[in-house]
Parts: sequence; C-alpha cells; structure tokens
Amino acid sequence: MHTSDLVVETTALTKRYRGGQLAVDSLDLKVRRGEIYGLVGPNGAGKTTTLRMLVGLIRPTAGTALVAGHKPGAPAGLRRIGAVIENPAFYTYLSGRDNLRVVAHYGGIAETAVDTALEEVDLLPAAKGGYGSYSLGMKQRLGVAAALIKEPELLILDEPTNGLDPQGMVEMRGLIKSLGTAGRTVLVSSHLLSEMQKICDRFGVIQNGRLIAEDELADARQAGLLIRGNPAGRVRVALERVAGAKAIAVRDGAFMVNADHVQAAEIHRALVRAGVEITELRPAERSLEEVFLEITGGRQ
Amino acid sequence: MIGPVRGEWLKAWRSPYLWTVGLLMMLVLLVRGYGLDWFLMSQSPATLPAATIESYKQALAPAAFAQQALGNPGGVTWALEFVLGVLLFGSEYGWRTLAAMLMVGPSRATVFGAKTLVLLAVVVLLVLLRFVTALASSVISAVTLDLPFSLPPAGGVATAFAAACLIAITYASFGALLSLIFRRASIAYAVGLTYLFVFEDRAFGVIAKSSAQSLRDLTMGFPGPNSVALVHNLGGGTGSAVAAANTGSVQAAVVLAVYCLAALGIGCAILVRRDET
Repeated sequence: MHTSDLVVETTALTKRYRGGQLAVDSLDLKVRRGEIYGLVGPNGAGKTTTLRMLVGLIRPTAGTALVAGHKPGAPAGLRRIGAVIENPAFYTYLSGRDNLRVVAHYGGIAETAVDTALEEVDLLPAAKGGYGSYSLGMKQRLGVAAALIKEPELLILDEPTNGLDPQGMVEMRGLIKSLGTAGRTVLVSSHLLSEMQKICDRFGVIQNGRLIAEDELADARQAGLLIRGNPAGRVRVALERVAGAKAIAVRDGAFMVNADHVQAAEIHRALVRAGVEITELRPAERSLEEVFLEITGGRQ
Repeated sequence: MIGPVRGEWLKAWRSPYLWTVGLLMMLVLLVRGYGLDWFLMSQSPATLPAATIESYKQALAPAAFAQQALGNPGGVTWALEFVLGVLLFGSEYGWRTLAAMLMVGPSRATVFGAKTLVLLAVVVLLVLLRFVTALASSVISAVTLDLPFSLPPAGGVATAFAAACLIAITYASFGALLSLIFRRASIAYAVGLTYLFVFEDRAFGVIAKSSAQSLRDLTMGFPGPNSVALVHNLGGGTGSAVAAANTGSVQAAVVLAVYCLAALGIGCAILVRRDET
C-alpha cells in the first residue's frame, strides 16, 4: 500500500509512563484514507494513550508516527485533524456557540463555520444554551462539532458512545457513519464491541498495548452458512450428504454448516432435490464479541 | 497568535469568576482605602486626635489617590492578583479544557503566549480600574468632607501605575506558574495563599521588625518585601514597610521583574515539554 493512502501510520509506537507502566507496546497501526477504523479493546488496553500520542498530547517513549502526513502535535498536522479524546471538555459558563467560537479563534477559522458545525450535529437550536446545562449526548455532539469545525480529513473519536443512553447511542452511531462519508477518515476507539461492529469498516484489536488482530478479523467473523428449512429431519439428511455430519451443528433451531460461501449454491440444490422447504439460507457471521473473546482468550 | 488571543479574551471577558475577582479588588480598595476612614471622619470627627484627622484627610484627598490605589489594598489585593493567575491557567486543568485547546492547532508555545498576553491585559485593566476607582472615591471624599481638591502630578501617577502593574503581574505570574506545576487550581491556591499569608504577610513582617539583619537581607530576595519596598518608596503605606526602607525602587522593580520573567519562562517550558494526560 502506498504511504499516501495511509492517514495514520505508526511504527513500533511505545509509551512507558514514569512509574514503569507499559501502556502501548510497539504498536504498528495503519489507517487508510476514507475508512472508518475501529480501535477495539478492553478498558486499560492502551486505546486512549495511543490516541493521545497521535494528537501530540503525550510523547511516545519510542517508535514513530505520522498523522495526516505530519508528526503528532505539529500545528500543520493538527489543523487537518479533529479529535475528541475521552469526554469532550468545554467551558461551562459559555454557551455552546461561544465554546465553538473559542475553538474557531484558536484554529484560525472563520466564525461562520461555527453554525455550520452546530447544524451538522443538530445542535443549532440549543446553540445559545449554556454548556453546563447540556445533556451528555449534547456534550458529545458539541465535541464532535468542535472536531468538525476545521473540516478535518481525519476525525479521531475516543469512546464516543460512552455513557450515552440507547437513544443517544443510536444518534451518535448515525452521526459517525455519516461523518465517514465524502472521503473523510474516522479513527474511533471503543470497548463496546457491538457498537463498533455497526459503525466500522475495519477493526484493530488492542490488548495490553499491543495490536493483536487486525485485517484477519473479517475472516475470523465468518462462520459458514446458516440454514433453516422444513422438515428439519430431511434438512439434516441432505446437509450430511453434501457437507458431512461433522460440518453441521444446530444453534437456536438453525443448522450451522461449516462451509464456504461458494458452496451455498450446491447446498441449495441438494435441499431442493430433497424436497425441503427452505426458509432461510445465508452466510453466518459471529459477533465481534465472540471473535474478540476467542482472540484474547476471554481475558477481556 | 491573534486567533488564540481572541479566543482567550472571549473566555476571559465572559468569565463570571474573573468579574467576581475584579469586583472584590474594588471592594477591598473602597473599604480599606476609603470607606473606613471616610466613615470615621464623617461620623465622629470630634473624638479623633488632630494628628489622626490630618492623616485621614491626606489619605482621602485626591492628591493621594495614586498612593491609595497602589498601596493601601496591600496583601489582600496581591492575593487576588495571584487568584487571577490561577483562574486563567489552573481552571483549564479542572475543566480539562487545556488538552482540548492544545488539539485545535496552535503550538503549545503559542497557546502559552496567548494565555499570558490575556492575563497581562486583564491584570493591567484591573489596575487601571483600581486607579479610576480611587480617583472617583477621593473626589467624592473631597466633596463630602470639604478636602482640598488638587490632583497629583501626572508623572507620579504614571510611576505608581507602572509599579502597581508590575506587582500585580508578579503575583498573577506566580499563580499561573503554580497552576502549571501542580496541574490543579485547588493545590495551587493552597500552596500560593499559604505562602502569601503565612510567609510574606506574617513571617517576613516579623523579620522586618527584628534586628536580625542577615534575615532581613534574605527576605529582600522574595517578591513580597520588594513589593512593599516599591509601594513604600512611592508613598503608599503598608504595615511592614520598615523592612523595605533601605531598598531602592529600581532594585525592587528589578527583583520583581526577574520573578515575572522566571515564572513565565518556567511556566512556558513546563507547558511545552510536559505530557498532558
């Protein structure tokens, strides 16, 4: 892959805190332009430390990183990045709009961008309200607006759904997916695997500061074919004939067949020949949680 | 630099906390510099000794307004100036907004520079307001107590104003530095106010009245005694001015300026080099 296709590229990035705690250990992370990349891992895995290094808040102990073509923390690079690390932080005595005005001044951005950013996160009606009176969901959205005001090519969001109620989670999920369009790259971290599954194009699993799985996750999630049909006895006989008895398992009333997607047509023909009424036949995927637990050995 | 300065100014201008500290400064000046003396003069002049009445008249007259604005508030106002520094720098840690600002784009040195410029502007404006308040109070005193209405020479007022600014900036810088060192407004307040009230106000005051010359010389290396010296030499009155009697204005001003530069230099180095977790 050409380097210019990568918006984030780290090589052996390492952070050891003064107390000796190794927070990030030789991390090689590659985020491609235009994708929504999920950095998944349990609490304390090193996600936030990694993101803090990428925006220059903390310095790596070893290793290198390039973010939006610049070293982390370089003003030229920061101007192309929008980031919300941990919870959004704003001035409680200022309104939502004035908080964004401060950000705009800091970023050398015209104040006209403020209302545009507020509109993008659906906060324009509450722009005059004091930040202190905002709900957690509104605070998160203001954080995203502050990140968007620079029209960044890379958006870094750390645990954006943390603490949100189900409605807030749905809204934030929709917002992140919409932000990942038009060539914008989104790097989002979370320990909520099911949420990431709904948002991201690719995942990296981080544990104890190391990236323990990445692209192979897509393959790992494939779990053969799921088949439902009537009568069940005749389905089993037909499947055993095509795939073999050892390749078949039953889960929640459905037959799970350890078979490749290309075998679906062959299996379908066999079921039809056996006179089975097929009600469902589709590729089965394991949840990200299942894969994650398998990769990490259940040490989440 | 202009953008971050505008951002910092917006925050400062809208901050109810800065307005509160500013109002407290004026209240201290009005009560300690004018209110109490005016009350005694207007309510019970017959019971006061002639020398006391004369000293009150001199202090309340417009001719002494610059000295009143410079010196009479004393330690409390210096403590409030220290609070200003903590408010502008230390509060960012409490709200966790500093990291958010550092991620926006300007370099850390630029962020520090913008915050420092706005801190200096706020401090100078509040000193100016103190002088205007003192002038207005002295005019009211002159009208109500029939005092002579003559203003001090402009040069004297300018010197007093510059000295008041230097002292205010010294204490505000001290507050900023402690905030950056401790990354907590609360601990910066605890350490700074303990130093101001226990050491500068009490311990150094006692040493100033003692005969231990070496200790007295030692205290002249600290900001408090040099501030007192500057005020004393420019005609302002504070209780422990005795210790400073032998210290010239220039020497005191140089010591304070060195403290300012050191505090801001160390503060900048801390912000630029340290991890913000």
